[in-house]
Amino acid sequence: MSNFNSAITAQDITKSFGKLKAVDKVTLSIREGEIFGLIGPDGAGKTTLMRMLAGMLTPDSGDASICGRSSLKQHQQIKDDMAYMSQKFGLYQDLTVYENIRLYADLYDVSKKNMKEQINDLLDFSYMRPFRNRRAGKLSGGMKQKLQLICALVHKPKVLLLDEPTNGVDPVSRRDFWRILYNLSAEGVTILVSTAYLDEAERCSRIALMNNGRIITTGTPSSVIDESGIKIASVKTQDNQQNISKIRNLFPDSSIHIFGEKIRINTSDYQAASLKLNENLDGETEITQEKPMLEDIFMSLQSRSGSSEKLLSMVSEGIEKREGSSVITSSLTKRFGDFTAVNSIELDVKYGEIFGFLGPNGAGKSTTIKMLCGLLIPTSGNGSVGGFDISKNPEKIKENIGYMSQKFSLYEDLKIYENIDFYGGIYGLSGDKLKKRRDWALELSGLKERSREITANLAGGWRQRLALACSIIHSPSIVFLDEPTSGADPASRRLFWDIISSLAAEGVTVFVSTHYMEEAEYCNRLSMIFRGNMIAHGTPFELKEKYMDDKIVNISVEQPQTYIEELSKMEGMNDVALFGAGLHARTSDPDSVLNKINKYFSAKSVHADSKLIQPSMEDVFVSLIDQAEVADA
Amino acid sequence: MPDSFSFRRLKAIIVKEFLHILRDWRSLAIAIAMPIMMLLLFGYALNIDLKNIPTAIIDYSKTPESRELISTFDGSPYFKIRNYYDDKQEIEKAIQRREIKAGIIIDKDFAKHINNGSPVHVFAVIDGSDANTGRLVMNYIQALGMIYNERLTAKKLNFQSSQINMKPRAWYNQELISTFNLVPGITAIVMVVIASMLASVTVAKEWEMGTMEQLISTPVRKLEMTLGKAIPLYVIGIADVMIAAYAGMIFFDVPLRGEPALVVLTATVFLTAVLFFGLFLSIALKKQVLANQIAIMSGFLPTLILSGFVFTIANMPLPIQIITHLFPARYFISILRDIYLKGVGFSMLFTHFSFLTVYAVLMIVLANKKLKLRLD
Amino acid sequence: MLLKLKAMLIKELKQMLRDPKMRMVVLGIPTIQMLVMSFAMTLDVKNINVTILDFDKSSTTYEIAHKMNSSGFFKIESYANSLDEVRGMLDNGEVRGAIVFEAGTQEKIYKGQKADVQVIADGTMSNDAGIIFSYMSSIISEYNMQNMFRLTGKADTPVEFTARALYNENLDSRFYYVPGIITMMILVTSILLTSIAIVREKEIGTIEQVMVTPIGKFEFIIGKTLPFFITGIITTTIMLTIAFLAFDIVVKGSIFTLGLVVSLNILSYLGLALLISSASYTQQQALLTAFFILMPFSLLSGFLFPIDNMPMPIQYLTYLDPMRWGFESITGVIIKGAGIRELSTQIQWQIGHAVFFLTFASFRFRKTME
Repeated sequence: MSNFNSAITAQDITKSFGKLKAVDKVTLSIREGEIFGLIGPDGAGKTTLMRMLAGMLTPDSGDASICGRSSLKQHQQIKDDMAYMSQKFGLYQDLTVYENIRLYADLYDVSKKNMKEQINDLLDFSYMRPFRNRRAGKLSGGMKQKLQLICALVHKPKVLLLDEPTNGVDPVSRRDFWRILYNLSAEGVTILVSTAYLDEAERCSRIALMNNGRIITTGTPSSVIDESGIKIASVKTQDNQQNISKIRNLFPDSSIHIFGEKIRINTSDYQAASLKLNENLDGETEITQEKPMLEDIFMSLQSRSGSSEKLLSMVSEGIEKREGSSVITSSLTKRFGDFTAVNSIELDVKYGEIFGFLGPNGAGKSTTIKMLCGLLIPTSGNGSVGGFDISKNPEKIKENIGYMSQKFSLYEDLKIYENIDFYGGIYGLSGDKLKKRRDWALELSGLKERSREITANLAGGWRQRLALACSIIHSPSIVFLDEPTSGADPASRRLFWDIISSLAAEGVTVFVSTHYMEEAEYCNRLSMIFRGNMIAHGTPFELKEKYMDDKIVNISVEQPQTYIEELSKMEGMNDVALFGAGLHARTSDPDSVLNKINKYFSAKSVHADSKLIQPSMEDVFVSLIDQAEVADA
Repeated sequence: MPDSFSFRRLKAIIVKEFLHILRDWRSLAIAIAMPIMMLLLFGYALNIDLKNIPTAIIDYSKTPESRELISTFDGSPYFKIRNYYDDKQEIEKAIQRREIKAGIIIDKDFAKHINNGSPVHVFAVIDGSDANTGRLVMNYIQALGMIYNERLTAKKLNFQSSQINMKPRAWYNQELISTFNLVPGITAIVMVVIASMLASVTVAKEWEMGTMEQLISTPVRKLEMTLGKAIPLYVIGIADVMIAAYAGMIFFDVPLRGEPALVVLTATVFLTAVLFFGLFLSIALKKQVLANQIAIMSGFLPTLILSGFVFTIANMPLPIQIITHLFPARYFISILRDIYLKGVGFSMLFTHFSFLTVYAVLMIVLANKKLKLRLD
Repeated sequence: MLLKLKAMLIKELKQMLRDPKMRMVVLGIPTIQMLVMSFAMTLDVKNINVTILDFDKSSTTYEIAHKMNSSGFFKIESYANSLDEVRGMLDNGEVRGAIVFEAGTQEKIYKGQKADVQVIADGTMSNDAGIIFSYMSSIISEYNMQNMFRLTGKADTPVEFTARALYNENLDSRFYYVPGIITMMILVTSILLTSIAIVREKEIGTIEQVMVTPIGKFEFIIGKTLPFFITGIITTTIMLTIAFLAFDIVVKGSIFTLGLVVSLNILSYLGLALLISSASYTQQQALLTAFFILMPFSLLSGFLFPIDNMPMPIQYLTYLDPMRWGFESITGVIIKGAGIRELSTQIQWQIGHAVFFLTFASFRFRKTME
């Protein structure tokens, strides 16, 4: 057989649920030691495929194998070679970290001889040792994911199947998680990982892009991009918000969005596109061709139809225009026992502003948002939302805001339209108005055809869209979104941000927390919060300029993870970390460090491309967290 | 052998389940307090024995003969004279107010008619709203009437009363103490409810919380899973049996005449049956709420009413007697009662014990058959 | 206000009744249980299996045995030969009683002397044993009386005891147990289903999204209560219909009064259940607590165990049991045809309970997350 060293294979594997073909004749071969990424929009069939590979779900036809054993016929035997990590947190919240690990060690019959040391090694390796006796339910999102990974690793599996393991995890924890994956891969463990983060996909040795149950393309991330044939025209105009709708009319079939300060147009013919743009746009414009990113390929899967234009114009319907400050707080503080979750937060957010709230898991973002929504009473300090005091008048606030919680919180046992009707109803809508808003919400969530399905059937990103639609069904003038995009696919995320921008353009305050650092760029202003304290605030630009003393060197190199350790030891180097497919080196002395890096790679005769770049929001985030941690220590 | 049963995995599941139980102290406290509460409730508060029936008298006769009749009633353990009235209306009103359950009306000519040998009637009005009690009251009135007649005749004919003298002997429970019955009945109810209720959530909860998906990706086997979940609950159940037994002895001097080991053995088989019934519900329904509701509904009332605890099965209509065979509590209570009060050995209990065992085995098989450690 | 409430109601009803299994739990199980239980509940002891150990074997002992057999209370199962055999039969439960005639019984009677007859009853069911003794003694008294007449050649008309049962002429036990079981079912279904109403949303996390909407505390509480109230009323109606069809039980009093007392009863349960729900962290806790409360409620209500037989302090305690008032008033209307005036005490207590529990539950419930 040619796939002698294939750790994971699938041959024509198919699975249908009722009429829906979840996985349609997928054939796949993953080599030993590979980190293989599985990407695709929500509902593409990634989870179903993984479950079949793991032998937990019986395929309708076809077969799969793990380390040469059939997932279908030997599904008990393959379990010893394999570990699977489910998308939902699958451990016991009322058990401690150690108790959870111990349970899995026993279930996998890990040799008792040096089990204790082995568990401790895993704890050390993942920096979880200090939390050994903490209940899993009390861990932050990032730590929970690490714990689940440890439990999967305890029997030293040869193959790891990870279903969106970093969902809802902040960048610092995600870097840590990937550090572990690289180390495992170096030890020869084969890893299949599905992810909604495309920077993670770029780190994989190979990726497969799935859509509608089929694998569309497989290859290294760069070959996938090259083969796509997609061209990107990038335009910089004086007023992007105004011009984007114009551009959308020019290219009705293309995916178009604002990225940073430019508008990106997805096209197959750059020359024609650039000509068209030059003819039709007034004022100063700057058109360049850019290298497509994985995200652009992703977007091309779901080219946007005209209706989304209508949709965005509908977003703002019925919103009462207001001006001035919408959210003001002074020394807002929340304590739970002796634990200070939020410490003296000062905010002043205006109507029409997109206000981003950044911070690692457990920093106090959700607690702050809950106080602002009237769900928690502050311990001290005060604040007002929409003119109402958050301690004295929480019920008044609730009439004027929309809130989308971090956890999916619609009723899974209701049908989709019933959830919409329910929220419409408790926000006081009825009759024609409710009907209109229902249609609008179904349109917004893209669920018009599925409105009579049970909500439990929805895949991740669809749920998020429905939840968003429900939370703004009453056209509030202030909207709080607590990690609205976590777990959603890039296309959904982009739609989310289009909606958010449209809302803001109509004068709505959008108060949003997120883990996706590239999303922070969409915000007008940002606050960064760490361990309950606000450590930075300003516009994205200000944050990058004001709070970053260090400079960033970007290193594009194959197998970047292998150089981290040596590069970190260089003099003048403050930090080296994975970034996308390469590395970001943070230094206060860029010239000499750049020199050293170049020397280092040429001495190894490795081809590497290093250059000084403007820091990304993630660099700012990580560097600020580092500084805060040093200050705390 | 990957398909073999592993004690280590079993132990791992047991430890995990124990930790869940210990961390939810409130549920644990209720599980432990339940038998004590039940025992006190039944021991002190509840009494099904029909004694001291509150009775009112209208004595229009007011003669030694009528007083003799009244004292026959008042002297029996069954009736207690609460009131004397002058008007029939008052009896009905008192019954409506639930003050009395029976009223006896003695005519003006009562003594006269007795002495001249003409027919005499004594009328009684009883509360028929509770027909069972009403029928018993009616039977008691007639029985006491017969005793009064016998005395009257003996007096008239100068006989010593009662040539045939009944010597009542209640075996196993000389003084007819109803609390002696409590321990078996209460143990059964507590067991059925606690065990099937707690068991009915365990598997469903794992599906609902999403922990099952992770768990079944490991080599864990069905039997390890079901046993691992049943054993910790078994420990609680057995603790409840002990608590009920000791509390019964301490508070109410309930004797244990048979082998204590036999009690534990029976309880073990019974608990197995009930626990695996709960697990079966949990596995089959996959929803905590539903499994739990069905567990309680099929547990509490049937055990209270159809098990022979409060109502004697032999007194029920035949079709209902057949239905009672569906509830293992029936066998359990009967076996326990025999061990406690009759002190009989295993050979006497064999039939009931076999029924119980069959039931338990059936439940184990059903639960394991229904359990699918896959996502299909 | 009404709109929000309506939205809440529709949602709750749909969630409850969507699953056919749940419909079964809400509507089916109570009805089936009512049917089976009503037949099972009987304290009436008849056809008691007995064995006879006759060392006398005379016409006297034969006559007494015959009298027993024809009384309808006893059924002579067998004749034993030894006391050991009697013990064996009682041990394995073949018979529930035994009569032992000693040798020389007839001789003593003929001589006008006293003769002892031993009546043995299985004391494990103490109540049954008491009944056996009382029936037996009346049979023996009757024999004694007839014997006296026979010996003296005189005859006399004995005093005849005629009893008339109020409310239920034929003393048909269904008239008592069917309405009783209905009140019990109302208790069990309303408390169990409602006690998880809030905690379930807490556990799943949906409550957060609802609490941030402008829905009022009372709308939320009423929205949570009313669906169970409605299903409670529906279930009760179904049970009453079946009671009529299967057992010919007709509501003697006014339907209005019945509706009133049933509603009050359900409301007090719902208030209590919501209290449990908002004080619990998991569904399991809520259900265990509900059950822990449900048991004394049902047992102290006076339905299965008469309150008169309870010790005084416990009798006072039963005032706090909403099922006591529910049971008394509901059965009062159905069986006795009692009206609001007769039930004024019960109704007052019911109102008290309903108001207390509902107020306490809404007081306890907060629209914040602590």
